[in-house]
Amino acid sequence: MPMTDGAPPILGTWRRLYLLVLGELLLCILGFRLFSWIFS
Amino acid sequence: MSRLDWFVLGGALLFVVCWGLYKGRGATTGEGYIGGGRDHRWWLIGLSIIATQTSAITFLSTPGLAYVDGMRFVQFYFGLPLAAIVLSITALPLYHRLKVSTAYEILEDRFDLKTRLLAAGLFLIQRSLAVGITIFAPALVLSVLLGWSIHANILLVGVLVMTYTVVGGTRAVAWAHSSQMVIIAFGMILAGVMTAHRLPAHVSLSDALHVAGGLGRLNAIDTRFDLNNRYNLWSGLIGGFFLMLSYFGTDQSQVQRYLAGSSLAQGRLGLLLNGMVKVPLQFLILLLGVLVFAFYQFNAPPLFFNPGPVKQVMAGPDAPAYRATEAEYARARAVQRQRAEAFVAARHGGDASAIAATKQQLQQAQAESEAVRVKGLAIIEKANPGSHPSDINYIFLAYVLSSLPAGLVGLVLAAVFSGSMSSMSGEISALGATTVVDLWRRLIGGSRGAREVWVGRIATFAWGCFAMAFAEYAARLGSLIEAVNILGSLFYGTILGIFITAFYLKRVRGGTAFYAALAAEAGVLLCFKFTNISFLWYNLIGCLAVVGLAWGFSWFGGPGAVADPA
Repeated sequence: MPMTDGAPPILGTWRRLYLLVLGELLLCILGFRLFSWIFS
Repeated sequence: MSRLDWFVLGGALLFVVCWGLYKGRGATTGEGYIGGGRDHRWWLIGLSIIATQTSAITFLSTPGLAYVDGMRFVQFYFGLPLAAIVLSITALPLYHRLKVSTAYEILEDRFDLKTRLLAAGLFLIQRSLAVGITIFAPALVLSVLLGWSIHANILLVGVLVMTYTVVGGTRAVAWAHSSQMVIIAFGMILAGVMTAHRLPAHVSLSDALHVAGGLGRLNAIDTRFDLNNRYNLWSGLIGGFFLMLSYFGTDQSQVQRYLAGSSLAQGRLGLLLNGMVKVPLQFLILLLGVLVFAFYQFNAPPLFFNPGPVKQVMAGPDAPAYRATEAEYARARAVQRQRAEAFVAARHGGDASAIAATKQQLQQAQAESEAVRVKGLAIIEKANPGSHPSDINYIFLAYVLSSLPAGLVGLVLAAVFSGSMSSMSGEISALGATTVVDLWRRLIGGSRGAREVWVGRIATFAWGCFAMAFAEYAARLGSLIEAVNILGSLFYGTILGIFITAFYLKRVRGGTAFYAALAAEAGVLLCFKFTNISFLWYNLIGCLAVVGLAWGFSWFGGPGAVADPA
């Protein structure tokens, strides 16, 4: 499957953009867990 | 509702309709009407994708779910960012390379006409029923608020949406979505800020969250693996991933949004924007419900937030028993409020043992209040035989009407309406597009010129009318958002299985996928009928069943393993 269609306007490569999305999901899961733990 | 509320609500809705009509003008060909001119930028695509998912149900049910069940529903969306990445790498380049107008077109190239029509048909059935549920929600809002008939409310929302969607097509839908998202964001943020502001002066936001957390409402992450547990980390990541893969990759109401992009990169960015925004957005909406829950720890809530069934009880022989239960509930909640105050005071004192003791007392008071509420629900159920009393959809609305200031009530209602209109417009636009491209253009051989614009308008109008008709039956369903998701999960796995087979199983040809899909769909419906498996897993089951059966048929020479001569 094709991976590129020119560079995205931010971060230079699509791979970095995908890592950003994955990183945000991981941060959300850990952040929500921490949030629950702090206030429970 | 004050004049200011009416002004805000009416002004917001009028602006959305006019903005959609203005920006959607000028479609002269079928491609322009269905494809939106294929010149949309990533931010417009992203907003449009988010708005299509964000229905009035999001505002009515989600805070209510947080109030009753805590925040674990957020895990449902964990598969979305993963699906956005996978689709961005696989499906989007394919759609753009083949220049398709609907997702189902590629299935005819890969398999045959009947497989394409099966997938398009499953979409038309599932989505047209779901959009009916979607527009029922604001009808419910107005019927509770103003006592208008639900029929009139459904008609009003339907007419507003169809005004710009039928006339302007995909472009009008996308631009109306952008204005609706602004209204939704303002409404949600201001409601949250005002709810925090309306807590008692001595109760800080941190205190309120500790009270809610102590009573089990901040259970956002559940790492236990349990097939019968509807929302946990694994059902969200795995089951949710397959659901989102199917929804964003094969559901025309979403595919149409990113196919309108000016390039593959713009479509990808729009989809990834949605992948980044949706989880935090859903968390904030659930947090709003948690704040409402905390608010009612210091203010007296009704026993049951849905006034309809209560009126029926009061008109019958169980009225004295219900009144007595209401009084008992009020006493239990007064005790609970005292315990919440004691817990907050202990927190301010900083004594760890006092905090633990008052927290335990608060939890005990909550359990006692809940026991009284269950008694009240039993009386309601007795007066409404066969019903399963649920007030999840009424909690947030009841709070808004009774506790938020003039102007903000109108804005929140405008946000609720915007949500309903945004999803309905995106969905009937997609239903119309599928009807034109996969049925009219393919089966009847219609041309792509100006005449197709009118065919598209007629199809969109007809689906809007069908959705309104089905909305009449939505009142019989329980939690609306779950009903929509369960309905989707019954079909999405099968549709996704067809597409995965198309993309990755090269040896599967001809009608194999068609028969595998029929068998898999029957299996999913049997699971729904005879097992307690949580609905998110249907997406995985349906998908794997199609892929497995198609692979097996192709290997062992089952039905359709030989390509049709055509």
